[in-house]
Amino acid sequence: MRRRRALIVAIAVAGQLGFALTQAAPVSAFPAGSGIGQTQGFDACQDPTESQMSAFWNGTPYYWLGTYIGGYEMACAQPNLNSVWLWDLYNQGWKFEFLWVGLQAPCTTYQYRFSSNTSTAFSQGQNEAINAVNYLINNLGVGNNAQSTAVTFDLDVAPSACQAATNAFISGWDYQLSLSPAQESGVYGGVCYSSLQSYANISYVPVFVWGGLWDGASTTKDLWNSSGNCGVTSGSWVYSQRLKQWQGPHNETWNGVQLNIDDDCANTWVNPSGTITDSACIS
Amino acid sequence: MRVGPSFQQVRRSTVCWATAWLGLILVSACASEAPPLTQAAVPWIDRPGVPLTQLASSVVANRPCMARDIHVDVGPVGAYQGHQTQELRIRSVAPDACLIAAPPAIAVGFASGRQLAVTRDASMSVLGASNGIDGLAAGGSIRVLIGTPGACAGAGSSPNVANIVKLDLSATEVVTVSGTWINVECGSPVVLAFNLEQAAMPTVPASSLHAKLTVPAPTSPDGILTYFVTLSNPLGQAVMLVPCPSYTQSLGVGVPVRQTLALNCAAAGSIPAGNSVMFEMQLAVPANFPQGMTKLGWQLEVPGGASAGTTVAVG
Repeated sequence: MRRRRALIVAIAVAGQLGFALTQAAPVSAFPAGSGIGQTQGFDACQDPTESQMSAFWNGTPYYWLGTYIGGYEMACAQPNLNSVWLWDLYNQGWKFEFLWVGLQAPCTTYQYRFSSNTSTAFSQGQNEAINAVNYLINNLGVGNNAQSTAVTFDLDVAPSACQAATNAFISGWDYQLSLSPAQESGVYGGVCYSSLQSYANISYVPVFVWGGLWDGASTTKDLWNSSGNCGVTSGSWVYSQRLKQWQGPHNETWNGVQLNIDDDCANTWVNPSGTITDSACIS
Repeated sequence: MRVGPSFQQVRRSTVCWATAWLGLILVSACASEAPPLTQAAVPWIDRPGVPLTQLASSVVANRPCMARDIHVDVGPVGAYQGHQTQELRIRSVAPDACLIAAPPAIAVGFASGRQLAVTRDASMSVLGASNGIDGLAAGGSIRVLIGTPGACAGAGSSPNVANIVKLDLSATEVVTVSGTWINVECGSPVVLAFNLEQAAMPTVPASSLHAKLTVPAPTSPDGILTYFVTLSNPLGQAVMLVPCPSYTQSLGVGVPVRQTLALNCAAAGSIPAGNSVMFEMQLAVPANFPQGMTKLGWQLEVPGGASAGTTVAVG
């Protein structure tokens, strides 16, 4: 009789507690790796909150977030950035382009700059790559030693006055990321102000480039600034190796949430995978 | 076609789980018969829900901000959009809301005592503020980004750095902060961003839940998309689904199909500490829905509520 009563209680409790209970899974490691994605995304100086990102997922053209993860010259503090945030956004459906804003060119006004000496600059580029990958693994919980994960160095301005040092620095970044367990190396910058084209001929060439060209044309095919007669030529980084930041900072509102964002298109490696094809980015 | 387990399977596994929870020995007797718990889901119900508005309510403030009402934190220096930048965060330390210009008059100061006015950049980002002045709520903050040109001929050879920033809230209310690094070597400083960030909305226990979507199979136009949402409770106490929260599901890009419905709280009851509950979801796909890969989104309609999404194939 007592056992029968216990069973009735058990059923009643089950009715209250739920149909299908499992132990809540701990936050898992964000998957390493990347895949070719041809989709629209956006970036913002301060990584948005989970609520903001949810509002920017539902019904919007955006599939990935340009995510500032660290470096001496990352402009905005990132109060939201951690492994739980990354995991939750991944579960919202988001893909990512990770941006590392480390030392900047020596002939600029930035506080933290790499050396004008090319040998030193190469080593400093290597160190930036090591720091970026360590951050992905140790702070953001990217699994499998972040193997094949795409990570982009944000070189905001790279004047020709210190091109040799800049080339050496980027070469060091690319070389370090090519070592096992290798990652996919990228470089972001204004197509003219950062001399992206010059990296096509350095010792270790970036796997992909992310050009800032605010001409309102989303396609990644065009990274050439015709008015300035500078940029990335049509024959460089042609095999799904490009991103384009095609619209600069502006306010955009989706589902009642407003952010100040840059619009981007990808036709290259996105994390952790990419399959969707958006003609706006490739046609 | 029903993707989830049968009702009978679910009942049996529930009994086994509940029995185990009560510490009774029956668990071993039924464990072999029960399907994996992860396959059981709370059935979907078609009951309208209530969306939570995401629009921040405007802050009612009846007085201007005074110097004592705010504290300014010096944030990181950086490289952004071709500028050398210095971030500042203005935090409200007042017990009530106050009005602040967007942005107030700002100047940078040098060790020599010289001062230089900070003007607005032509494309200055203003978020949360309107009409040049707005309410800063108690607990709210403002992210200010000041920038100078990142390069010019001869840059890097003779930095000219301002270590002080002065905010003039009014003729008599001035806030000065030191420890900044603003290099005017290549030009005068401008305000790049003035973004009001109101204090977070008060949360409820259900705000702590995490969500994950599982879509077992693609769907087609004029079909029913059946998928599952697993809500996990990381807290050390149960989350009671009272009042019963709503959720919003959306499918598509541009003009998505969107529905706000109630969770099947009567069946679920609560989510115990450290446990997860899987809910079945259904969404009717219109006959004219475009084929191809698209977005699926799900949002629990509580402040800071869990959200999940994925891409699904339609066609």
